Amino acid sequence: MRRVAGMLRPLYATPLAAAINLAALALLIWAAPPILDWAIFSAVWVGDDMDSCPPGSGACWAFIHAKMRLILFGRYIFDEQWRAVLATVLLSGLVALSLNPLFWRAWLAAAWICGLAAYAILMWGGIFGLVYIDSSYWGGLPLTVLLTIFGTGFGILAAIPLALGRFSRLPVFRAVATFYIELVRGVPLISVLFMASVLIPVILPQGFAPSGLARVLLGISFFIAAYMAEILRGGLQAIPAGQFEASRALGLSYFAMMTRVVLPQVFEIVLPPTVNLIIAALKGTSLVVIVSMLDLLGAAKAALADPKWIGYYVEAFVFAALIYAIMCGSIGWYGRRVEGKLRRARSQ
Amino acid sequence: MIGMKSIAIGAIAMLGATAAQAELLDDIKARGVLKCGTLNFLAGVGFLDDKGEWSGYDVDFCKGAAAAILGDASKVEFVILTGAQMFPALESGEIDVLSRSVTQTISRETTMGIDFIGPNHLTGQGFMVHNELGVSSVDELDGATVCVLAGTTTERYLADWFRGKDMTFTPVATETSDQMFANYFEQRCDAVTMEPPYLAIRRAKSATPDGHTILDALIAKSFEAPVIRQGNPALREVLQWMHWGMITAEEMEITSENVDEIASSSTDPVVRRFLGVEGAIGEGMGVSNDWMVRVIKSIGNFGEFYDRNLGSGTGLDVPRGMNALWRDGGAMVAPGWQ
Amino acid sequence: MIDIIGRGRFGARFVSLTRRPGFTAQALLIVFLVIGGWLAIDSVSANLERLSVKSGYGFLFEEAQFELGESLIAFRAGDTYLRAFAAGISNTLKVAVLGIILSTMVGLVVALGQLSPSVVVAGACRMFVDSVRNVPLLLQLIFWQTFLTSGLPIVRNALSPVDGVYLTNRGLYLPAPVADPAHGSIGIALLVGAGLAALIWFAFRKGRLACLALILPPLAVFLLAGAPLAFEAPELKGFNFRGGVEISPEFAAMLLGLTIYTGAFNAEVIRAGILGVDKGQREAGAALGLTPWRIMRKIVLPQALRIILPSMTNSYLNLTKESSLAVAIGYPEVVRVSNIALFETGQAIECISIIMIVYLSLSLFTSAILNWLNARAQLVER
Repeated sequence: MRRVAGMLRPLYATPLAAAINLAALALLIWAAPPILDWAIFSAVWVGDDMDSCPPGSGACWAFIHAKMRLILFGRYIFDEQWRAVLATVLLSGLVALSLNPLFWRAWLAAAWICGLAAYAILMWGGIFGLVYIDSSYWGGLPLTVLLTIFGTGFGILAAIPLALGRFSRLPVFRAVATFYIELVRGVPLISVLFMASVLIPVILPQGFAPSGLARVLLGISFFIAAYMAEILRGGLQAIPAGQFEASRALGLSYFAMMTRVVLPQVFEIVLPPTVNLIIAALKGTSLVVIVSMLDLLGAAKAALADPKWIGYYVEAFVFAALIYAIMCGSIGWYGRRVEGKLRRARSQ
Repeated sequence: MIGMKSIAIGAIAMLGATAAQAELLDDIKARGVLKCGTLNFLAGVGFLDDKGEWSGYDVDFCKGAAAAILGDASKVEFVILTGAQMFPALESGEIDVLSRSVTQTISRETTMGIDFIGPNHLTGQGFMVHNELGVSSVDELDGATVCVLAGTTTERYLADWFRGKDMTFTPVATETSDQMFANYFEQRCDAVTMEPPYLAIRRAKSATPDGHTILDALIAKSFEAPVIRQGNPALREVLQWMHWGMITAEEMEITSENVDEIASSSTDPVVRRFLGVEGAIGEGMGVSNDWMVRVIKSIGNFGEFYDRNLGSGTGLDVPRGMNALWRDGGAMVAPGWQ
Repeated sequence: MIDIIGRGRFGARFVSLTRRPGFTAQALLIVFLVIGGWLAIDSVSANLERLSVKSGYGFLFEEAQFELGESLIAFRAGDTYLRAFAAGISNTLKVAVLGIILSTMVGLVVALGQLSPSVVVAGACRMFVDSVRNVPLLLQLIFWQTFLTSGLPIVRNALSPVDGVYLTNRGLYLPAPVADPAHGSIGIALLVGAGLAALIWFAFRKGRLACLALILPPLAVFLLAGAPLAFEAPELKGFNFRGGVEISPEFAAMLLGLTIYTGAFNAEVIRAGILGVDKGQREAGAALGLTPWRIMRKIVLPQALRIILPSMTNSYLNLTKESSLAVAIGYPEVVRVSNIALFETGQAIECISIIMIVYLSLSLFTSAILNWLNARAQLVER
């Protein structure tokens, strides 16, 4: 009893705190019933078409139930969707491992090579008796994950030369890198996506236009590269000058100094902002819906066009929002956990 | 670098050459697949079913075209395009046929280097209003707030029409038709503008089907048509006559069910020529002689094609209206198959 | 190469340039970029010629055949595309400027809430930050738009808390001052006052005097002109309210969405800044007998500002760029104008380049202001 009282103590420690707490509670009590009623008590959970959700009833989850596979997988061939699940889980697992610097060993590189090969085989197929599925069929959650992971991955690869360029003492490299980074950071992602989807066919000679997926991935990677380059620059600046001087004293070339000494340390320093960037990238991929890609949000939007179900866009968007929130939340949670583990491991 | 440059020059030079002689029809046959640009957000016109399969009016046209050219309706690769992407995609060769409810207009046909086929969907643009406003004619809409779909020709026609009448309006433009109709039904707008059949569908499915009137007058014609790049006369002939062939099949009462039987039993020379039993119309056009049989088997005659996607078979129940055959009071006619 | 240039002063300079470290690499990069750029331009012009699409910005002076709904700069169908873009940019600016101010306030309140001793408030603020930051802004905007149009009453049942103020799902209508010839001179007086105030501030650093100098001239002119202030109340005429000031639900949804989303990020930045202030400072304040509120306002926040400002710059830049998502809910800002123009004219390169230039200039302008502020905040440190 006393313990409960002790726990409740902060709730009424000062009159102001008590008043604020009461107000917050009142707001909750006022807002909760209609939301709960719509989402749960008056909601329709099963049904075959829109007649099962008469006007005036709550949320029509029957619509989500019927359209679940379309929203989650887009146009990926229905009977082969297990392949997309497996491939996406595999890829996410690899990323989760790679976010922990304690695992940065040779076996991780080997795991990436095998993993990427398995990913490609599962997604495309065409061998081992798997049906070939063109990348234009990929969609839904696997596409969102793909755009996030490969967008960030290619972005990081492109960011390394950019960050080194911006950090460089050679004026031309510094000017070019700075120009690129500031240019891209100054414009919105959707203008980059428009550019990738509308302008690439105009800019490239005829017949060279890459697929829609490749174009969007290119746009996202170019965009992320600029942000990642700034994160890496922060990391480079945090490396003590002694490290550079020692490398030079040992006679290491610029290339060896960067790849052997500096960059491994930089990557460890920039891990927390990189996790934030991945979360931002995941949310950013939702914009590809504006250039008509069938990612999670795009597929949810596509599900709305069925004449059997008209007008359930609130349900579709709430469902998509929940998935995004769960994914972003768990990435953030995982990032903080790794950070804590790393701190303990390093302090021992 | 020099290599890339020469490739680029080569490609541009080649392009000049290919545009002059090789036909897109031959390219499609050599490639074995038809690339079709379409949309994925319009019920009955282009959408994905529960299993992620395409259906709809615009989608079926491409399936029919693949059946005509390649003999197999499944040999289509669909590319989803937004309004801003569609013409660059067609012009750059990313797609062969654009079947995306594109409205045929003189400015597009004459300035953009494209050819329209058909038109295969004749509609117009009208208004739906809330009954409680007491509006009975389009001329009473001065000062109204109007919901409209962003990035479509309806947006322009709306502005043109109000300007022509010297009246004012406030647009509320949204990206999806769901958002647009939600806005309208919540009375964010006094009126909503779209093709009348779609207005009727939404009214029927709304909470208050009796609370809305679709005004009689149309403010614009909207003839929707598939599009191809200019300079491909053979492809244009095949697609145009495929459209006319579907109308002809409905006139002759040839359906996807009975087409085989009629082909084998008919003695009428026109029917026999039409179905490729006699003569060599198809081969002269660069496709097989029985091409219309394959089209009709895969997507049906024009009536079947319409009913399956928009009409009685779908729950949308859009009346045929102008899209009915001429003999039934519509505007769909085809030249003779002689 | 060197022989061609000869041995003059220029040649000598060139030779010394070639001996600098990394010359070859830099020269190669320049050559690479020039060739790449030339190839791209070459290919674009070839493609454009083939596609028979017009190019150049001439279309900006043609008539635009669409309506925008609302804009600070008046625009109607039949005006030029240039004016349409100007109207779009004014709408972008309106939402970005207000969003920056409001999101800072939300961020401050939520940050203080997270640090508050009250468990419920701290927990609620924490939950708010976590949930808002994890959902794409696009979805949040759609949510707010739906919430406002379906939650507020329709025009004919408008809520009217005070006479002349109407709240409907078509917007909030407020009375607006009626234009008067004297308003022009009041405006000029305001400018004069602002000049005076700036002068006083920079020369003498007297805050109150500067405030007085700002307010007095326009007030004097206003009173001399006989206080010409009449308000025009909005009235329901025909379909809609006419007159007064209108705040549309699309604008409100945009502002709410941007404010809350960016506010959650700002809250984290401000919280980190407050926690970054040395604990001794707070304890010293408490020892002096200051109230917690005064410690926060006079001691902690000014020092936290220095830590906060650089991250806030980023946050403001993001807000400005994210205002481009308005296109999804139909708020007519510059991306929507550009989309319609692209659809009507087919000039993709020009339309997209306009968006990029607009946002780039806005970003550069915002970061210039904030860098200036940042420099000033650091200066106070002495």
